[in-house]
Amino acid sequence: MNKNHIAADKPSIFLVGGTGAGKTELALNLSVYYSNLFGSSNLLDLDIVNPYFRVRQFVDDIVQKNINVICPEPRVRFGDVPALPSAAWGALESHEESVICDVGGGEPGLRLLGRLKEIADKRKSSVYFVLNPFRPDYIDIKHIEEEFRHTCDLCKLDVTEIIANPNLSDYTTVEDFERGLDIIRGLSETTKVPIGFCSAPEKAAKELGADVGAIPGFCEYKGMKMFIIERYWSVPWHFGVVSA
Amino acid sequence: MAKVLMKGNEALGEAAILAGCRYYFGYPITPQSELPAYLAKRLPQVDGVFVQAESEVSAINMVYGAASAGARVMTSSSSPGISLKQEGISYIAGAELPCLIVNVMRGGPGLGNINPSQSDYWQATRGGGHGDYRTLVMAPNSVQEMADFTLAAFEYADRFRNPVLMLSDGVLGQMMEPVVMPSPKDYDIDSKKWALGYTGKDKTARNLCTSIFMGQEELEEHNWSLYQKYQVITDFFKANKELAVEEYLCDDAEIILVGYGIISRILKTVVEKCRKRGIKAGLVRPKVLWPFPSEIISKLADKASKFLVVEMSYGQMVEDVKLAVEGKKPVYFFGRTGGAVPSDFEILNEVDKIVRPD
Repeated sequence: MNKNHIAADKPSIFLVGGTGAGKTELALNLSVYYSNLFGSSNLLDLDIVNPYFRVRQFVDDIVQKNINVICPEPRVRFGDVPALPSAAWGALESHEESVICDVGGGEPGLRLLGRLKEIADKRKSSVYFVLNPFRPDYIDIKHIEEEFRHTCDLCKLDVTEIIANPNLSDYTTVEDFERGLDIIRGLSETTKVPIGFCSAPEKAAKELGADVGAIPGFCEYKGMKMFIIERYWSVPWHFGVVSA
Repeated sequence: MAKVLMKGNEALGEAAILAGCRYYFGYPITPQSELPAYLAKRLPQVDGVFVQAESEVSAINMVYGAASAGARVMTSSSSPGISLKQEGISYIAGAELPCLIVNVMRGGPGLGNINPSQSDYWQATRGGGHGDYRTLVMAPNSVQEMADFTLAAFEYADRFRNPVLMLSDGVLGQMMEPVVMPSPKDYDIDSKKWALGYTGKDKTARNLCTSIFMGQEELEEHNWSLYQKYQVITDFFKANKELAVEEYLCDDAEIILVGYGIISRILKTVVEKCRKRGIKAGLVRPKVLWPFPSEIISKLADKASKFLVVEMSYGQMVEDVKLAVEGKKPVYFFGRTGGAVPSDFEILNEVDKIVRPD
């Protein structure tokens, strides 16, 4: 078997971007997608700072989907310490499996990537800048571009594509999505970094009129690739009131 | 500001700025650290002051200082850090100083863990520190309310010259929801005629903000005055029921679920599911925990036949509900601790056991 061919097909992906961009949700879904495609995949939890809503919370659920979750060992998994799993290097070096890296934790998390640069470059990794323009820091395109440049500087990796993830959680309207997508197109034009794909949960994608297929999976949306995701953050207050 | 996606901690920080707060003193602790991180960035942009103190004890005493000068000021922490602040909170309450103290609760006792909890109810509503005093305690249940209640909290603090405690939890602090920021509020520092440095137009004598009253008669008089103020606060929320409590489908309810904060969101789901199954359930959600809305719950006990209190603790608010119900109807309890957030399914099972014991 041609090892280079395997390496080309089984990607190494780093998801970077600000808090609330949707990196973890995307990482979970991309891992499932590549596991369905190749029989298994590695999901690397590089969120060393945030206390809640991390990949490691889903270890028991997604291990059944043939996903090898690489995160700190159980006794420190929910500790308030910035622990990096030792198995991370092995997963990135092996080339035998696809590996999706969820790089959370803001600036400290991004700085961590500098240490992985050599290994990431060697494997010709894809670096996705995940962007949700509805975060409070993104007052205008100038602020978004600053955040983009800052992210690139900190992580020492070249961002290969922008992933458009415009959302207001489960309350996103079609108008919100389109408005957000326009803002992200603006960043792509300014930075000359292409939009790899946009992303939406199944319900929102149907409302947008996308031709939804397998979940998670890709479909077409207005000449752009759209990645349909499943929401893993299920909360027990479906009926709970949000007054906004 | 247009609708944006924010963490509860961030929304509270932005709302504090809109409320005119320009001073924050605190110390990091999970799961509230996004709040000081947000204000460390934002306050200098609005000519405000952010100080990461060397400890929680220092921070609360810096709050004492700024509040004495009449400024709108706040601090925040999570459970163990709030324990450390108790001496200062007692001093602030004794000196009748307005400020906002935020507790994003985590699991305890002791160092516990970083997961969400509601086990600081007693600490918040019973004072926490020493002496005869009360803090007004507010309990938001969404990211939007983290913002809205913050503006209200600064208003109440000034109005009653009393510290206000925002009792949030790890879920509310960390979760993201869309939020529309409330309109900014101005406040008139010159209206605080009690503040240090206030001289007024006629250059009156210097003020003193203190909690020390050396003479027995002097302290008794001061404590009596505090007691009367607490009665005024209690009467205010009795007269403005909608500010104190949310009632949902209580009119014909045979069982009333009681919960605050994030639990109330889950209980609303449970009420809906109960109704679909033919169980007449309702919800009471205290938005203000001290003064506790006892009168409203007491009136509901004349109609409903059972109460179920749900908390992320082994049962703290349930004692206030029992006092309010006055033995008229049975009060049941269901709680989870250690960071567990009870599911709607678990609570529905409890309702079933109570309503359909066979």
